[in-house]
Amino acid sequence: MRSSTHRVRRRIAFGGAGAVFALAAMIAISYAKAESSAEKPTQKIVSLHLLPESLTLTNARDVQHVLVLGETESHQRVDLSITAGFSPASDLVSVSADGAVKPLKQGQTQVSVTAAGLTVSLPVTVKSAAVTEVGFVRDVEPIMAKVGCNAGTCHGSAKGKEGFKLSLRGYDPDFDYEALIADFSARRFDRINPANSLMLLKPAGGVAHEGGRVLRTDSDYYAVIKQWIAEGTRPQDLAARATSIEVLPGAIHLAMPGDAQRILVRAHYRDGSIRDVTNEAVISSNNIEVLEAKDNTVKALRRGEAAVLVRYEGNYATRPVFIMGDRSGYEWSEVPEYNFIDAHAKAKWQEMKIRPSDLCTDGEFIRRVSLDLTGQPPTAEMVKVFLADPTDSRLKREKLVDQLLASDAFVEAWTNKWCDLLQANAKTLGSKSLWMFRGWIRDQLAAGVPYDQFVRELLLAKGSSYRNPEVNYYRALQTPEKTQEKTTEDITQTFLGVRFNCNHCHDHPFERWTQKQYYEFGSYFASLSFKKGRLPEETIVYENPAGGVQLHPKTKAPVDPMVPYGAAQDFKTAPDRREPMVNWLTSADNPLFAKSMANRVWSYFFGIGIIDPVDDIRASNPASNAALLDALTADFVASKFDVRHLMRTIATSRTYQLSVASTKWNDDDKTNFSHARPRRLSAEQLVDAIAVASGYRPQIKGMPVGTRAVEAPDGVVEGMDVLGLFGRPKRTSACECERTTNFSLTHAINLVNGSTISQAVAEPTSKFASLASTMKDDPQLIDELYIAILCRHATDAEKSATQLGEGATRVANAQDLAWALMNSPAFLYNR
Amino acid sequence: MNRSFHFMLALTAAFLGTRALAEVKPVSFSHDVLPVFQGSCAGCHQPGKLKSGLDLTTYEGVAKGGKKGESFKTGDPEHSFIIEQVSGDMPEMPNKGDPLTKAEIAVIARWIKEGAKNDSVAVVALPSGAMPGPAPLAQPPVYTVPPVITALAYSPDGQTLAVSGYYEVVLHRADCGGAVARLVGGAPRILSVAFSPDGKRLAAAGGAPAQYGNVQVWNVDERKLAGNWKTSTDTAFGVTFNPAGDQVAFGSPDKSARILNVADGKELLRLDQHTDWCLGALFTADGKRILSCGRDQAMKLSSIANGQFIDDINNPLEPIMCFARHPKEDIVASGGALGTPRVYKISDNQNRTAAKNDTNLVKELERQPASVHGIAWNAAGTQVAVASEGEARVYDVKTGSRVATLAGHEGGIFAIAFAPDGTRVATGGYDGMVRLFEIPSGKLKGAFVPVPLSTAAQTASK
Repeated sequence: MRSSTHRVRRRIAFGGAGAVFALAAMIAISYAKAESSAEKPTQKIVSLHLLPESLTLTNARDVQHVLVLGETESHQRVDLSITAGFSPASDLVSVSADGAVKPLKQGQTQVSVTAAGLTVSLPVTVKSAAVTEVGFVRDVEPIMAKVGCNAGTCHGSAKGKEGFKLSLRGYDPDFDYEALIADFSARRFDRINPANSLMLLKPAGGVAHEGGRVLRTDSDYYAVIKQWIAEGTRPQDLAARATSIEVLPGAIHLAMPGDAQRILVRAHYRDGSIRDVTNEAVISSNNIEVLEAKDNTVKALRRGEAAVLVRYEGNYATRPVFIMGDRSGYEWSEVPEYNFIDAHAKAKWQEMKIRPSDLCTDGEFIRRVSLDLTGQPPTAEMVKVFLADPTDSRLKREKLVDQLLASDAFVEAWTNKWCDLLQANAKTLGSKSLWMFRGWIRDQLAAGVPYDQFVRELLLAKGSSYRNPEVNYYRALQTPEKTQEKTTEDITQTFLGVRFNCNHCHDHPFERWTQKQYYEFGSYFASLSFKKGRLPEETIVYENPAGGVQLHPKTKAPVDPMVPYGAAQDFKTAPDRREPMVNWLTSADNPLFAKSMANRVWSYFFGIGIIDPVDDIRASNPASNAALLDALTADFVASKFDVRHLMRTIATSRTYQLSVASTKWNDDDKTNFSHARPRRLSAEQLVDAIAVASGYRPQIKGMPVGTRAVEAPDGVVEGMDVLGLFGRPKRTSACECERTTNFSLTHAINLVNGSTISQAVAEPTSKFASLASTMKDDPQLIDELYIAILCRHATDAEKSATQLGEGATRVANAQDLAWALMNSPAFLYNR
Repeated sequence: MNRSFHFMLALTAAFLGTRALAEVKPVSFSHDVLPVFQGSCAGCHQPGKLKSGLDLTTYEGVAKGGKKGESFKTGDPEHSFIIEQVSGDMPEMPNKGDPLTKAEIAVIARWIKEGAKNDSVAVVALPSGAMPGPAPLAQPPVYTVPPVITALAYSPDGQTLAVSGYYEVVLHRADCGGAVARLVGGAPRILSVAFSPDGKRLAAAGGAPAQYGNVQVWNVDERKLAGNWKTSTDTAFGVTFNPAGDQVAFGSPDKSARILNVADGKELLRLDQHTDWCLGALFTADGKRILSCGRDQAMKLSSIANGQFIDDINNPLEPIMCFARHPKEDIVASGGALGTPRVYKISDNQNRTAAKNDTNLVKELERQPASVHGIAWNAAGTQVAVASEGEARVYDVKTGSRVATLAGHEGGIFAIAFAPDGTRVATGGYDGMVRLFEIPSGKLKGAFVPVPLSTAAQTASK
């Protein structure tokens, strides 16, 4: 008898695991699936447009390009820049084959531009064709960045290379200037024979250079550097740096994979001048599966969305790129809007020619929303009541959301999440402090303390780790050596969603954040001190007026506290050094505080942020739907930072309630929320879901019987390795990524062969055994198991698929069925 | 497939080239091939790095090959490893920088085809074993702008001030009375100058950056270049005489400190204890020990008799860019890259403890506006003058207090010297002016451009 049971179980086991693998494989395939490139429809070009429409050239080195765009009958713009022909009307300018317009003589002229059989005129004004003085900041630095002198792998590395150090990608021109003219008694230039200068001999291969030859002696770049030396290696004020860059075209719509668009980058300067810096700018794609960026051109690889990222001399710009692909046959079909979220999602679907999936079923919804709001699935009874409730589906779903938001289970689940985010772990805090800190967090959530106030209390905390448990956040950020760095980096990452770790050592290479800002922000915590209290393991966190000097690592000069953007009260007039920063941080005007939280919460309901990763907000990581995120943020601020309101808004949107089943018109959508995304249950959800379904709850060491996994106080839970295996974080990092959500072979093996599921199934106290013995009707029993495990009724086919037998066989078979259902993706994923 | 196709293309180009040019002129190793290696390969394949055991800076090195075997098969470019490495769409080599052009590959291929002949003239060492320095320029250099001044020294009698230019040392009357001699050598940079204790000789050290070091010894009275030697593969730094005046010591970027015999350039000692560029070397008062400093932040003391390393005399705090010994005693003043000058006893550091790890430190002076480029003692050994940027400063060593501020410079001050009578300090640097300051008043007493400026050339260029 046992052996047959085992055989059955093994067979089902294989099927269950197979289902898991099949799902994983399916996901992998859908991600890897390449866009099939359809025949490119040739459309007639009806007019030509130039970007910019005219050129003004101001000196001999001022060589500029234009983009030539052809407009089709259906008002699509096609890049014709590469094929266009140029012929100047006079000898005031010359135009190279690739369209570089070069000034020769002062005056005004025209260049006729011909493409696709059409011709337009480009007015060109040459203000001067004289050779002007070379500026170090304006002319020399961009060349060093372009040829790679100051790259991170070369002289821009933290220690330089072979004794020659430049600032990374030229963020500090003053430093670079000194290195070039002063090191070793002006070793790098030769005033009487500029061509003999080391700074030319090295890159041009005149002397041994490990970095190889990166400059040709006949190049324009070489000539510029040589001229700068000949003119006396003069310095240039930082104000000569470009103040902004303009990227043309403004938005890029590419119809089909294979289509390309040339990019034009124009730098703007304080003196009002504009320069074509396309060749010196760095142009890249944020999504290399969808868009390829090479030199000055971006090319569509497959249908989707991407952004082209452009950086030049400390200026950054991004431009969205939309690649429509073949959508013939697409038609929009109207869907209802439950709230503003749906309106914004809809606008994006229409723009990308997507159609959303249908609504999920009530059974899917109660499972999804219960898991999302309370960290556990509904009980069989709750499912039955909900499904039987004849109320209009939309209304009863709203009612359910409210019910869950008001539950204790909600508070427990989000206390657990905030313990992750605030790094509440016993190793750093000690177990008593951990308990108290967790209790404090729980109280805040239970009382519905507004988010801004919650953060404010946390960040202005001081006093005893027992009497004022919120001080434990600062304690959690203590490390043996890098407390101030961790405090700076984790607070910015947790509450603003930005990463400040790059600019610890140098200005951020792709962002506006500077090293100075890092230390200015860190300076707010410079007088934060810790001392032992009188009770065992008690710590007092206090502001030490004698402390409070933050030194800049390079200049060794004291750095006063300052916020990285916006404005804050002068710290000298504040009662607490941290207060101006906390006021600024939690202000409704702070463009990142509410936004990063709204985005973060969104991701907890959709498995992906509108900006993703949620804690890496930067210009080069644009929102997939900026209007939606802005609206969500505004609503969150208007609610006075009410997190329950925010969650309610999300959970009652129609967009949240879409089915996981995708359709032809949305199966390649990964960023626009047009269908639900299956999310593997988190470690705690898995353990709690098994408990809810089976009625058997394993005891957590040191906790009362019946304690949920989300109620375990520490990140590491002794005796419950399954939590660690399925990604419960140790809580030592501010990164959301500390919690893992992947599904690998080790997970599958644990579920199939380990005790996690089988113990719950076989446990005499689990409800499967008693159900099997009390419920004599097979279809009824099968239905009951489906409801308990998958939160839905079994179909007729499922009900009649098997006969469960009698007595001990019946129990064993019911357990086998339960085991198989629990090993199916429908159970292991939130979908 | 693609790769070999391109390889064949390159070869075809090479052979076509051979036919077309063969009658005109065979490929020259030294004039045609070596410059290609120099430009694209020698960054790694040079004696200092020897990546893959390969040296591509000489014929011998190319012929010898590296760890991966021989570089070429004479007469058979098609099966020559070096051609294989640099050819194709994505050539193996160069590892960094642009690939070789087709024409460059063709030149190498043709040279191999033509028999890989060596036409480079081997440089013959002098009888002392020293390598001869570059031949002095036939004509003194022409300046249209003042040079960057990198070295200054007063003669022991205080009558003459030696000032560096490009390719030369110019001797000036110390009272601003004008130039009396131009000592023209063959190396573009002179980074340090020193008079022998009897004033009869002048040592000048420098070279061409990233190419070679050069030490020159001049008979001052006859204005004659008595010794001219090449040293290492980069410029020589911080030359000094021993008390007897028959030896000079200096530092090199190959991390070595060396002592040469003044009479014939014979290398008497080479120390390789530094872990980064060695930027100067000096003798103790008894001439028996040598102290060297470097970018590795260390000042290393060694015995000259047996070359035995004795100790680092200092706690490593910042790269030591320059140093100078007290005129009589074994005390040294050093200048750091982060800007702090410090005075140390020249002694072993055996008594250091974890708490007190800089036992020889006598005085730490105030931090300068930038890296310390030059440092000098007065003859009495009571003051040091420090060159940094914008202004030079003079300090009382005993108290550490500033005695004088010597202002008015534009940019870095790379050279500084104390007149033997202690009443003048000369400075020079980026702005190309020699300035003479009165001590202790700090008043500017004279300023001049140390070289003749060609106004004709200046006008012509404008």
